[in-house]
Amino acid sequence: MTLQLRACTYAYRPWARPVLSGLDYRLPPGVTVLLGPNGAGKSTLLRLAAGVTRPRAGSVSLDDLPSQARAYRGAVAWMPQHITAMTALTAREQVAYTGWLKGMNRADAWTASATALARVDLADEADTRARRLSGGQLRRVGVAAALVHGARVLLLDEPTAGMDPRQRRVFRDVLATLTDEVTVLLSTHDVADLAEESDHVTVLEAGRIRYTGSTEGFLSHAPADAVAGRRAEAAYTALSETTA
Amino acid sequence: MRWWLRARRALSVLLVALGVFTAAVMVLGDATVELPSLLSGSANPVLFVLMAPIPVVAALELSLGSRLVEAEETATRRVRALDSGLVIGVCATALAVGGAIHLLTGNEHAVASGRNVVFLTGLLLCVRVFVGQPAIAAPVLWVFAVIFVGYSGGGHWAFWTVLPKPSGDAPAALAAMLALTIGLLLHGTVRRTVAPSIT
Repeated sequence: MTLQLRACTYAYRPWARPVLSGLDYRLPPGVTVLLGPNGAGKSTLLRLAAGVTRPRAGSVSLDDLPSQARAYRGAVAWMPQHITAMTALTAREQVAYTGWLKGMNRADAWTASATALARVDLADEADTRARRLSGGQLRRVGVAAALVHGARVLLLDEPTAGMDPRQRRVFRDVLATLTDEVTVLLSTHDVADLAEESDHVTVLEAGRIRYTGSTEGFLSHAPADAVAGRRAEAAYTALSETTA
Repeated sequence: MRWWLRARRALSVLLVALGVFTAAVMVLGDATVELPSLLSGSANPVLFVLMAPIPVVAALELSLGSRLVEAEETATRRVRALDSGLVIGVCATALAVGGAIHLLTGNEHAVASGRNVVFLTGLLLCVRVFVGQPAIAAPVLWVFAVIFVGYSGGGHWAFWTVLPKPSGDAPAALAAMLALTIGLLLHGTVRRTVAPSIT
């Protein structure tokens, strides 16, 4: 199960400078952390991979499935930066609704929503209206919604933004429990927190892949005197400075 | 389906708006107010009931905008088709309400009010695919344009006004159906892309 972007070019307006230009990217199996400064094109890459937007040129596919295929959308889950809090729905209903939208029947979606909320440690708030949840809780609802229908590819845009340290720990535990059959691509600014626990790292700068490879290879860019626990940050800084 | 209806606030927003529409058409009847016409320079008799579709159209905008973007944009179910069904259902209800009030009270403007809901909904859908939520201004501006620049004196309304035309006016009925059809086609096909705050 390989998600691949081939020669993808994308601009938000026809006359605007492309955010991504001729990008080739193959998502490796396991957990990949997508790093890069603001404006690098991380969210755009994730939106293209999710099939939310289509590239102006190039293609996005999952094995042989093009991103506009219904089966593609069923196999991929996307969590954007901004999670909508539905006014009329509880947290559990919002997650179940996501499952239903992804093709699950009502009963399965309802059962799976409880499981997904429990995985992100939000079972106690299942019956709370989504609009009453805090920002961190709402992001966990977003993670639960991404997990609910058993997608084979998870695309998570800043999943830990606004989470407190305990909530981030819960999220890392969720990542660790995902089976080998699930491929994860997550963007983050939380370099130190996530990069060292991932299988792969991709660094995007100005719409171009600056680095993509194993986490070990990424960490090898850190200076020898980098403090333990800060190696990912040091490696990222070193890579950025090389580019500059 | 139930979650989708609740997400769209079908009961709390749409049913209430249809109730307001029904009450407005029944109560306002053929009451008019004299407002200035910028074209003729004289006063023109404006039916209060011209405003009656606005709550329904505003509620539809609120309803269609009340969506779980992240899941609906990547859904395998045909959410846009469901939305189109919702729009058609609301328009059909407004037409039925207009027809029923006409039968009960003999109010000639009741059927035209239902037709006007159809026309303004079509207008809303045509504009919202390009500008999103601010599209609600389009039907409101249309009503104001009709009132202030649509009247040319002597009881004559410009051909484009649609809203003040009598219920039996075939071009107005055609315009309403055409607006709704184009609106639904655009709603079903055009994807509006909004750049994320941080790319």
